[in-house]
Amino acid sequence: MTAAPVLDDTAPAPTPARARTVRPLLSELRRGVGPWAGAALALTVSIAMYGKADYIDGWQSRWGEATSLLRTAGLLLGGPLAVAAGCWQGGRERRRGTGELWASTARTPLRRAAVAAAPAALWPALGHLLAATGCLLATWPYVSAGRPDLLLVLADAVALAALGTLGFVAGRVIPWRLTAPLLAAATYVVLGFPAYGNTPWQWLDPAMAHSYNWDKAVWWFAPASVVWTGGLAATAFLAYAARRRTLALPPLAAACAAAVLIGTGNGGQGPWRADTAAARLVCDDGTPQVCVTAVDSRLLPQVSAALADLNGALRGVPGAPVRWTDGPRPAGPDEASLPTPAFESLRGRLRDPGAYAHGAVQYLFSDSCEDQDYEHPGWARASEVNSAVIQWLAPSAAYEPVLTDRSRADLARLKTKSPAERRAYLARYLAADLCDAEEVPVP
Amino acid sequence: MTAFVLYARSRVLPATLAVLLGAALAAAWSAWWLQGQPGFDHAARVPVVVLAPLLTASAVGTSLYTHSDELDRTAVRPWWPRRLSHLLMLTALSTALLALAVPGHPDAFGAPAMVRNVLGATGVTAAAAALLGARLSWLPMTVYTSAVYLAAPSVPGGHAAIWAWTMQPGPQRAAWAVALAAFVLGVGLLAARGPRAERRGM
Repeated sequence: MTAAPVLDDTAPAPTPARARTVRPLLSELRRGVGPWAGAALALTVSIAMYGKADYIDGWQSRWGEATSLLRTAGLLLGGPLAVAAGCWQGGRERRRGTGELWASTARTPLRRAAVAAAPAALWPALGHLLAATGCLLATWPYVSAGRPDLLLVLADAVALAALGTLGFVAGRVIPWRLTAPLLAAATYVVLGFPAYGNTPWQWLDPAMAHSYNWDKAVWWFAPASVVWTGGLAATAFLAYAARRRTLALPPLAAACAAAVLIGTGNGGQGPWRADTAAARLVCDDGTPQVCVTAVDSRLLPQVSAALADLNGALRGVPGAPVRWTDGPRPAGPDEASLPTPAFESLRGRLRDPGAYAHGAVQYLFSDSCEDQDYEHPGWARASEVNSAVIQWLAPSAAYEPVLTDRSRADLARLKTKSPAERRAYLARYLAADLCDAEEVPVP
Repeated sequence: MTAFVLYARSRVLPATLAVLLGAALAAAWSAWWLQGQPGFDHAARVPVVVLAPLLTASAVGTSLYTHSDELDRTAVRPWWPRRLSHLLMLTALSTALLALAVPGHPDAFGAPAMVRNVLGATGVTAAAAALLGARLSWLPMTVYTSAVYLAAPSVPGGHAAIWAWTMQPGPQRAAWAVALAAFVLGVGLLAARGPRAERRGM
């Protein structure tokens, strides 16, 4: 015999309504495909970023490079995963045969679908944000200036949530085992295809990579991207789950408006504008002066050191540049362009200072010659002299083997000249039109 | 109806064959379009050589699902020859179709790389079907492909020929060894154990 329950008036009133509201969502988020999708996405993005960390210049030199690669890795690689995971989640009730059980509950179809779709939307976004946080922390010690565009990173996360939601709706609607992998492949194609074009409308593609050029996104790009991707997902979700399907029209209208803004805003130039703070020149006090842009200012001491011997040879020579500059602005009449240090460095270190100086001399002596200049009978000899002069001013072990015998002889003669003779020769060389083979002085 | 027709219908083989054919046609068009873009050449076919085998392997993997697993296991005749034939025939067909989709340049991303990737992807997917179940058999290869696609170095060879075997050009021996090992192990595992039993559903 069991005792009758005793009512205790002093006990705190239970809050069953709140408990019932929260627990299904938490249970959905904790179990099933969601956490695995988030972990897979975080791992995928992390592996891709790690694999690219040592590639040429890496992505840890500038915030713009880091966020751009994060966008590509997160959306192009993570997008198909998010869609496939969402599709798998969407087909769950059909696989388990629990659709009728769910339909018998008191909740509206919209709320039931929202709770079921939550893991498909939230976990891929969380996985991306986790990987992005790690990558941005790994970038922090090596950048020179500026700050990351966190709104763009958030917009990428929203795009992943939108893809997960679209996959969920597809999984609910299409009862086919191959839907998930087919949609994953199709997502890759749809997200990768616009990269082959060149139109402002390609920025509707959330996976579109941006090549950093001392610029930054216009202020409305991230919010517009959120409305575009989120609006499309909300449209599909409401059209599927809402009792009144006209509810899908407002997000569709908002998505279309955002798409028009992205495609035509900023004068149809794409959603990027010049970043004058990043392009500001930061110079040393040497002669010739060495200037890099603010976004690479951390590398200035190493660039100055790499160019020290070269500057020593050029100092005071008539025709020598007054300063070396980098950035989006073309070099002035007394200036010479520098190779961009961020492209020659890895995690705050110039990879090869000698090769960097060699590149700087090649920039210094590069002229825009006409095709007929290369056809001049004396061009081969002039090229040999040019090679010898470049190797003399900035020796490079990698360049040494490609010198011809006559270049080596020219180089030997340059090295045996007295300092005064070298300066006189260099002045004649700098004054010559290097596109005119007959003007190039043989040492 | 003959036993073969019944088996084919129970494994949705007509739809699977349609997917294989569709994937091959899409791959052929994509490869042709990609290498025709300004500034691109035959090396631009990498996405096709990586993605098309993933797609056909997914189709082969999901075709292994059976609605009557417990009933099948009561059969007097052994199932492994059927599973093996099923896998080998679909693999041979997808290998032939996809190899034709990327003509020329066997030293880069042509037919040899495509054949290797089909074999490797099918092996991984078959192993996943044996361990996870046929319906989710596409998942491990999809995650793996996503992870290595950007991370693989642009220079072939080295350790990447092993861990990023799908991204290697045709002649890389280490990549072939990994793909063939995956194929033999995956097909062997699937033939011996069959796909993991799953609850009824789509």
